[in-house]
Amino acid sequence: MTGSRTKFWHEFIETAPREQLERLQEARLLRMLKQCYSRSPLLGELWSAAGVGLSDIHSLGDFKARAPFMDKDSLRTFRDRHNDPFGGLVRPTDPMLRMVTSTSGTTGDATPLTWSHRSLGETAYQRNYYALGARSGDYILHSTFTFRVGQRQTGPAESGLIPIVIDHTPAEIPRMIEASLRFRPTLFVIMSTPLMIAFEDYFEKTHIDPHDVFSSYKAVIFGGEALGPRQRALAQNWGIELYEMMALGDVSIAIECEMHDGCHPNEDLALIECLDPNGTDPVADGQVGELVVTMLADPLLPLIRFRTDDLMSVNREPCGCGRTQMRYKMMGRKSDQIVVSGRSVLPMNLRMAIEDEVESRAGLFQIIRPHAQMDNLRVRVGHNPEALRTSAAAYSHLLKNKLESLLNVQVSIELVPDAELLKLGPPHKIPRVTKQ
Amino acid sequence: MSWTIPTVVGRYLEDGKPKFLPLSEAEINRATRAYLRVLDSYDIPAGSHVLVVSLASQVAYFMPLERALADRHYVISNADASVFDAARVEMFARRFNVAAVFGVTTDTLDGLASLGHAPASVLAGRIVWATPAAYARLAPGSGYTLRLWAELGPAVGAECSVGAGLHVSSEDWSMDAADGELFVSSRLPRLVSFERQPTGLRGVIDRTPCACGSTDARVNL
Repeated sequence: MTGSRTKFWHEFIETAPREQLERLQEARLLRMLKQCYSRSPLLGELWSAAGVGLSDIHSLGDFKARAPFMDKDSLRTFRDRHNDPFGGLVRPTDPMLRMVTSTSGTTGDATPLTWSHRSLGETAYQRNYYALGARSGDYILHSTFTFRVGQRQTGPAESGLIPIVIDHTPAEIPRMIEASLRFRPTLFVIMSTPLMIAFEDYFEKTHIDPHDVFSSYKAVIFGGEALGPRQRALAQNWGIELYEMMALGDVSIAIECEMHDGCHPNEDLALIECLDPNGTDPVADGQVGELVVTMLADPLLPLIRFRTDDLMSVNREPCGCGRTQMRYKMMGRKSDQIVVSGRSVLPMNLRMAIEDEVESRAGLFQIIRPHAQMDNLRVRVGHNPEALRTSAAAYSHLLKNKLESLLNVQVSIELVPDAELLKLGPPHKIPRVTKQ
Repeated sequence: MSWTIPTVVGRYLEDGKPKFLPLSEAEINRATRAYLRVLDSYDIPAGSHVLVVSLASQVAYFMPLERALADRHYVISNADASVFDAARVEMFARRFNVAAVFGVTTDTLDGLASLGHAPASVLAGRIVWATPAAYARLAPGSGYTLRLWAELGPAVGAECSVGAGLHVSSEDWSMDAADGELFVSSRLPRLVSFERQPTGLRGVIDRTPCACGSTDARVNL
């Protein structure tokens, strides 16, 4: 931190010219490789198989030209072949190992990940909280989960912020309101689609004024999935400004700035490449590519050229907020792409059409994909039975026609109540693509 | 170290309803030391893998525990104490040599059952700290070392290796019982002081030293 008058927690790093940032990345990358090459059996195996050694890498250029890729399957395959629960990331006896966290597990068995001290995400949160206006002594409403970083709250504590910790569940809406009115927090972390549905319902039933409840918040961080236009409009009605948060490939997180033109990752902590989703060539800024991330800050989590399956577009122009670090927009998951009668469909293509209808304004839906290619797009759509303006069958027919017209593919609709659909995922999101 | 500024705001239950519980760094440090007295009664080697099962709102009870675990150089994993996250508990138990599981609740047990996993096989060979309701369900089983962990209003109790009652920090809390109902009062400065705060639990207080060497009061529910 460079002083109380700066807007940024790490001003030099967050506003450094790109050539300085790249020099820093190179220094950290070379150090990182040296630290983790011998301690990670997975890394050693992958690089050895690719015929690449540490002595081949002297620069960022060498790395991008020669370093092999890994992905979640690399960890799983190594784990199964070697009966190694750590997936070869580290050796179980590594004296620096302090935490084994895990991925969300939204669609299956969560994948364990290793940390030396604390999650890199906590540093990212620290920087973003500060940039969003939270200062030492401020309360923040903290409604997340324990499975990522546990209960130690080291990031807020080091920042002098005081988290009011409330479970992330719609049942806690009254307490979130009580905490907001009593402690007047400056940040809300994290708002999600299920929470927004519950807040909307609660405000409608109680006639509590959302403007009063949220008046102290400088920012409300939204996570779990991409932020849709309906949530932004709802937030505007409540007098809050939502800032989208994205995962950075299981390495860290990234959050929007006040320009709302993409999420800022911390490029000094993780090297980001945007590559052809089906190849290895870089994709031009503004084009859609796959997020490939390399950890630069924790040798106990050696995700090196880790193909995340996330589709992104990158902007490296200096941002209006003052940062020189890139910003990116997430476009969905590569594996969520569905081919229906030869046409590519992503969940985001359906979302607005579904959210626009009052019956399904919560925007809860799943694409059912038993096979990679289908002749018929099957969509399970959540709805509020009390909001039906006509029969369920007629509403289903309306949605079918609307989506068929929009996507130009055959669609079949399965209507289920919102409450039932919310049971299919963790409390902050539902899987958007499912096999059944 | 501040005595007056909260580090975190958690919650405690009063008549089953949550109340805000601001905690200072001093209070968290004292609670961490109380957990260390309990942890050190076990022979869990440094570097062992431990799984903490909790809800975020239980931060007042689990932040000190995690600090104590880190202090003893254990490798920590976390899962939410919910039906949904029971799958994560099972995953860690299946894949790793987890020495101890802290904070098992009935939601976790229900979640394991709904996934088709017998809690006894998931928890086999481990030290298991369970809430009173989960303890009652696990007690008839075998194959694990079952110990009790409980919220007592704003205070917390955990059984040591001897398993002869919940240890409640005598530095922080004085306890008394009336007609079997347990009350706690704060002894040292706190951001929120308590005077005969009902715990919602019934039990007997034992003030004799424990065989583990601790002089903290013990509570038998």
